[in-house]
Amino acid sequence: MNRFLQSYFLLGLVLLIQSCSVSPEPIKFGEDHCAHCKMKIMDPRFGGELVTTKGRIYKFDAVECLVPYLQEHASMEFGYTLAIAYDEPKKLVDVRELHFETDSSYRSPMGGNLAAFRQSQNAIGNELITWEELKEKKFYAPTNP
Amino acid sequence: MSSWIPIILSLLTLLPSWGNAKTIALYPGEGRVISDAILQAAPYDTLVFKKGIYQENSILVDKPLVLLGEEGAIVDGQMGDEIFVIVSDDVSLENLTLKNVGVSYLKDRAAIRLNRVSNVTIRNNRLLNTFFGIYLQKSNECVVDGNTITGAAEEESRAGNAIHIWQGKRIRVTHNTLSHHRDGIYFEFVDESYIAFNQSRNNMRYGLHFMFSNDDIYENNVFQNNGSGVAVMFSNRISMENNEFLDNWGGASYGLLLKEISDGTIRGNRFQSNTVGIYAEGANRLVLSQNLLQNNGKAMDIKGNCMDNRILDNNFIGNTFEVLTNSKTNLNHFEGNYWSQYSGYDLNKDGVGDLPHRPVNLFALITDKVPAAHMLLHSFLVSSLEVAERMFPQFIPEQLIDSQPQISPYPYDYD
Repeated sequence: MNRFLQSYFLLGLVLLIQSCSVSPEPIKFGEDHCAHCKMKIMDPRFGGELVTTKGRIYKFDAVECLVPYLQEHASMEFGYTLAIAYDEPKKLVDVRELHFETDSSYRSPMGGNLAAFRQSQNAIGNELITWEELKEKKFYAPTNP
Repeated sequence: MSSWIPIILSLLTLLPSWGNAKTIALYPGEGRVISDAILQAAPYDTLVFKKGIYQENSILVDKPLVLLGEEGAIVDGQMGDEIFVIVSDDVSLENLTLKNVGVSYLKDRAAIRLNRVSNVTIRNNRLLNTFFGIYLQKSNECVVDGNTITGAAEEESRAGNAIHIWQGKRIRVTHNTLSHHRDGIYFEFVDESYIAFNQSRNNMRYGLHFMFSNDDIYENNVFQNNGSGVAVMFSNRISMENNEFLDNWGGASYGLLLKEISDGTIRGNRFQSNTVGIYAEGANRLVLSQNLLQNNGKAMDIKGNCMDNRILDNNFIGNTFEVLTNSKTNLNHFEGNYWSQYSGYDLNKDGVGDLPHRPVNLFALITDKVPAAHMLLHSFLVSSLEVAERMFPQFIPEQLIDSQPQISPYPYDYD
């Protein structure tokens, strides 16, 4: 009996600790939906994730959806701001470690033509910008190139 | 059974009526049979593919030609690069089976790519397990008709779009059957185009997807059992008529998703058995009329940032919730619809209910915030709250009413 109680207690403790931890989770491609544009997240070269300090997770199909979401929810506090690197598909990386480049050859899901790179030499070689510059940008005013 | 079949390129007939345009027959063989034939052909020749399997990819079509498959002619890309890349105007590609294009993260490979061309026809082909099916870029006045495009899509992120059009004008996409791809039809910057009589089923994201496209018409299509039916985003003046949006079930599935669109018409469509029939966000000046919305979880979810839409003469039948919104004010106009949840009466027998109908249900607002509350649906408590709320609206938008609710459904014919 005592052993049972102990194991339940342990289980409870584990669940408690798990539920309190604030950590990102991988994007399930073909299953998760973008919090901003409602589209299903499909392309493993693009995407992003925000995790609030309370542990709520928001996933995005493109960085051009994540940035406006951040701008519209300026009062929320985020523990993690992550994006997927074009040169390392599927993996979420802290945005401050990434370089961003705009080029029409990057067919990002919401028409931003924007890709993130872990290694700057993998980019085409247009102007690379940092996260600090990117997060001030305005999106969704596309012009037919 | 060694390779005794050489490359046979034979001149079959001279068609007198075409001047010096020839018809050349192709047989499967060693090496790059198709590319060599194209190299030797003169503009406006016809290449007839005889029965057999041609193992070839990266075939550049750089002159006006007719490529015609006989029954049983198959081009196998062997999981390599794209099969046909068309860079010339006036090409037509018909009756071929194309299969096996390899998946690439770096390049959106397609079985047939059209690059900066016009007046190209892709007709009656069968595409199997091609990452992207037909990819038109910067092309105008092309026809994609009667093709059957089936993806393999064992892993979801490895699927491309069946018909993908990026920058184009006056494209006709008709009578195609599209399944097991990411989007059945994808439009980005495509104007003045026409989509009709297509069947788009079992695609993972959308049956049809518009982004930044204007002045397009889609009608008489069937969108069934896709991730969501159709998404129209950041587009203006789209006409959507007589389509069927069926069986789009799932946590975030919609029959029709409207986002940042204006001045369109949605008429005579059937929305049946969807989690949400029509979801609208930032949609303005649309006219929704004569549609049937039947057996959906929520028939319409119309957000507070939608303005000046007119919802007229539709049939709302057997939906769990008829209209949902997230705003207390209403800037849209509902009139003359048939609502199967209408509980008023018609004393003067003119076919119009004497009391206005409030299609927004209090409990729909609650379950939208707290999905687990669905458990209490149809309970006595909820039903009584419901009646009280309809009499003295506190939470539901007061002006969201239909002042002319119909007593019986319209007899529209939706096939």
